[in-house]
Amino acid sequence: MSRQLARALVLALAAAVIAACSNGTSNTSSNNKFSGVTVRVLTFTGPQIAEPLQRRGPDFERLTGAKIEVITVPFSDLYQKLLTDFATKTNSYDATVFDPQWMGDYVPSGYLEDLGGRIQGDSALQWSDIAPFFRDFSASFKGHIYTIPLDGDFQMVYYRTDLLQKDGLQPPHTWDDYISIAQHFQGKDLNGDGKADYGSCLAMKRSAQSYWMYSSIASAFIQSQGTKQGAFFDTNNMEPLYNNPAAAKALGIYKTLSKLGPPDQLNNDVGDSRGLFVTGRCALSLDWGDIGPLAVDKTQSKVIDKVGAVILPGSKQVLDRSTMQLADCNPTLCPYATNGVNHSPFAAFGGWSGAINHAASTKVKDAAYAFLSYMSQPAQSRVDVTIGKTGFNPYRTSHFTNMGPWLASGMSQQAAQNYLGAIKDSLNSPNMVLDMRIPQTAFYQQTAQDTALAQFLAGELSVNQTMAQITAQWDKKTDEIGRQSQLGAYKASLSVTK
Amino acid sequence: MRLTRRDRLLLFAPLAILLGGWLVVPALVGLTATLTTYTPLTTSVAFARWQNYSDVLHDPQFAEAVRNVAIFTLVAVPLELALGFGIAYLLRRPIRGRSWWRGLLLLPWLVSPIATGVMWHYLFSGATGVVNFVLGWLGRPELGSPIGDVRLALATTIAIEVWRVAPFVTFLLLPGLVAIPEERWEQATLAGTSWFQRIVKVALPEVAPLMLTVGMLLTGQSLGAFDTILILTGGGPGTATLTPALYSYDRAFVTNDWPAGAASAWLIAAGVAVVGAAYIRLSGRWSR
Repeated sequence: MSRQLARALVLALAAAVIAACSNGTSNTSSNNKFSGVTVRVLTFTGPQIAEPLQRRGPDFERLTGAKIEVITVPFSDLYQKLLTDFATKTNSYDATVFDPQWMGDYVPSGYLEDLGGRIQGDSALQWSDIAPFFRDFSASFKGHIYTIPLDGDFQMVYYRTDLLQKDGLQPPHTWDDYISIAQHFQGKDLNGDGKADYGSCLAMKRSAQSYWMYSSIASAFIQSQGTKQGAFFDTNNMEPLYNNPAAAKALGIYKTLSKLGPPDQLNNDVGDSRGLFVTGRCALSLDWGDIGPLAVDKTQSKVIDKVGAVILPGSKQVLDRSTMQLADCNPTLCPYATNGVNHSPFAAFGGWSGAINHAASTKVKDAAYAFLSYMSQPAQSRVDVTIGKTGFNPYRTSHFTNMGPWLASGMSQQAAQNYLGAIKDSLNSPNMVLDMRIPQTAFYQQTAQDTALAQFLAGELSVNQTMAQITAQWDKKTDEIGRQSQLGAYKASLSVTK
Repeated sequence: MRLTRRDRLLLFAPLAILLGGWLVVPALVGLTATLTTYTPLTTSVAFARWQNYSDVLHDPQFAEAVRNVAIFTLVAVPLELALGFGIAYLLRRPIRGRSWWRGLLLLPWLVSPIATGVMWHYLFSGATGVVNFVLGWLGRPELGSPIGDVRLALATTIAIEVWRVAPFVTFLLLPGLVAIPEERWEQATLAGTSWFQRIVKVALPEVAPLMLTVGMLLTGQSLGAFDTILILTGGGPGTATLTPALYSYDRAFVTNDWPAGAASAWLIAAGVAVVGAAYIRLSGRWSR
């Protein structure tokens, strides 16, 4: 008995020591714990993303003594800058806030620190409060956790509630609805300035976000059997899914929308399309969660409380993978359809996430982890996700249930519920489309797909030529890297436990 | 004092070390990379012979880029020289505030190409740009941005390049024109020559060698056109404004295909070298 008691005492003591150590890891309130430590964090030139890091860095220094040095580079350089720094073992950066899609390139090479142990002992982070999708997709790679999510990214459709209500129109359920609403408002004055405005504003510029916009449309036609079916490649043989009647239909819609917006839409990126939408010049837009907070920003918005959001429009026809033809939805073909409409919300990009350089010293890694944890903890993040300029969108369960910060940001109760409801609809969808996350994703999307789409929109390529060009370049790259290894990586990226 | 061979070597050494360490060696490493399959993501590197050059030369995108930069150079450089010379000709005589005008002429050149791209992007922006704001104020209908129109994009980038460079050409040519003795102009006037003949017979012979040098510099610069276009259009719409330098940047830093990026960069360097050789040949003839 006394032996058992002694064992129990030892176990209790060990548990207490472990708990104390764990608390020490996450405790960001003990002064000067990291005194003399400087953490160099690389991210992209803001103001989005860099702004909250720069704003909260000094607060974190006061709490812990660690100095946070935020280094910024243009988004187009971020991937390469990190890769070069890691590969050459220069290790100029201790941590990064980056696109989790790149884990496919960074993790197998051993550049990122496995954060699983630290997270397990960090009660202040409230890991389980982070929505499962972001824990499993943005943060994890092949079962290990490498990032702390700081942002939740889905594409949604935004619409002007006042305009649709006035004309007795419903928000778009399908892409056909989207086109007819855009046609209805194209050329009308939508903000009372006497000038003709636009039905839909999209980011269609080359070398910007165009390929995500197209994939948001194409997904509704390509994926209907749930997340694991995948919307980019056939999971049996890694054959691209962008050369079939579904992809052609989506290209047709994309081309139509290029003419139902501003005349220079082919040169607009999201900065332009957001500016146009919040100044009241567009009836519809397709974007990440950023428009929600921007629309209540009194310094720039002319559409305060006039904006609604819905899950990405769907389709009544989807690609039947057995025939590779478009077919009408039925319970077998579209098991997750709502009223016969297949919705495939696209988790484009995946949300900015923080990671730590594996090669940094232990003390610096601890400080970097504490900072990323601090940024993500509910006390900080619940405020940051309501501020448009942070670029951070909701990703924790508490962000959806705690309405206080949203109301404090200037959103009405109805607007907040509508905005968060659209994100929740996407998050809860069993047919969510995951963004590509395989080695050399940058080539597949930013070069092959983006270039072909730009040429298609400019009239240089036909629908068939566009699909053939994307497919040929994807196939060539897949064969170059190794079809089996790419297939393995693609399938691993889809194995999400929701 | 006569310099010995040792003195010459000593004087040349610092420059040789700088150029060797920071230009020649990296360039040779880059050249070697073009003959391999190296990328920072793979551990094994294989000898690829001329495959990277062959891939680039057979890529229709690169062909489009070469076509665009040829048009860009053939149109922009003569326009920059003509406009720059024209303004310098007008400013050659003492006028009120000439030094102020000369300073003003340098402004477009002093603005960085990136800032130029951002500025013109917003000036042209169809919905939020200044041009359409003025049109709206005048009660005129809005115009689409020319950089978003596939038919006008290349012409617009050329116009912006001319706006940026022509005043700089003026700045370079003006001292040459001002230095022409007044008697030469008076003789020409007394001989009853027209203004055009005065340009051809008096002004041009004086500044022609300088114009040749400036022309070659501008040609080299145009062949490497990159920064402003990257910000202004990103090479689009479609491939309407894609240049070889943009193509090279995209392959190296977006696609991460370093050998192809370096191979296309060496092809640009070869193009510039051809122009340089032509310059040396022409200037040699001129001096004879």
